[in-house]
Amino acid sequence: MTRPLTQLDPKLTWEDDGCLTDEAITALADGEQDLVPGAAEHAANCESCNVKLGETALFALALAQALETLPSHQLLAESASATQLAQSSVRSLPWRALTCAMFVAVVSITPGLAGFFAQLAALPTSHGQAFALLARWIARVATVATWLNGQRALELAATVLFVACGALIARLAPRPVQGPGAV
Amino acid sequence: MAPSQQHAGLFALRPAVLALVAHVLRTHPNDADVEDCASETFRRAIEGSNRVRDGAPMRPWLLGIAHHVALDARRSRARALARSAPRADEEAPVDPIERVRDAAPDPHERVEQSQRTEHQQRALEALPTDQRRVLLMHARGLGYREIATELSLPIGTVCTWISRARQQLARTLNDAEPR
Repeated sequence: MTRPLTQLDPKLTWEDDGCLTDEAITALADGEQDLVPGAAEHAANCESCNVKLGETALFALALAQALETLPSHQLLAESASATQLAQSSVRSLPWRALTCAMFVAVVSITPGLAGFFAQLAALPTSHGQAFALLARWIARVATVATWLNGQRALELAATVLFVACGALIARLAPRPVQGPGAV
Repeated sequence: MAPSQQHAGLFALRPAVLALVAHVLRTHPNDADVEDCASETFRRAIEGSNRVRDGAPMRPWLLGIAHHVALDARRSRARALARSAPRADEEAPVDPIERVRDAAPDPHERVEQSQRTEHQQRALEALPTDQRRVLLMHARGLGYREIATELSLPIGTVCTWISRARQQLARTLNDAEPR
């Protein structure tokens, strides 16, 4: 006999008194027997669990019939977009903030474009040179006096915007779901 | 879905069918009547399974058959009991107007139905978004595993959300029920 790939955690299936939990009864009422091994046998011999199972099945039926008359398509679509934000691995990006940041960055770089090709020849050819160049640039940015210079101020604004975007993305990123039934 | 797969899916609901019938008949699931009703339910389901439109959820359909079969059995029991009981007088004649009465719901019933639908809609909207989505996906016929895969959720979370959503709906609808 093949063992099902996933089963409900026994803690989520059985109460301390040996009866079935609400989750197990729900699964059984929905025909998900293989998720809750042993639950069907227990329910057949336990009066209270069997009564609960009957009630749950009857309510599930009534609910299914009621849902047929409700505009559930719209509700499902609304729920889908909200759940996707929380669950999907595809992260939603703050496009408006990113566009603003890109705009500021492009504006700040425009005056320097004239000398861009001349600088290409002087680009570092080794890691050591690259680190030296980066260190020089950081030192220049760190000099408070130069911040008041128009181009530096724009560079700084773009940097701040990018950092803010990063913080925003981190805040909007979905958190792992920790359901009580996590298996 | 292949018929054999479809039938396997139906038989997974056997415990629920037995419990539902026992609940309606107000008896123990090992009662012979319960077993008879369950057999009749599955016989009707297998016979009629080709009439279910493709993709339609089988679960409510099967439980619906079980409910009808159980209600029929309960009425039969009640009739049998009435026949066996000594009657003081003859059965009262049925009013001819009652015989030709329109079976369609009257305006009062239609208003009640509309109010009930509104309550149900509000109760559904009041559910947490994730629970509502899972519940609606299940109502569309998706199984727990399919929902878990689609939403990248643990199976236990799906089960918990469906269970909690139903409990909250039951509470809300009970509270909204006019007394």
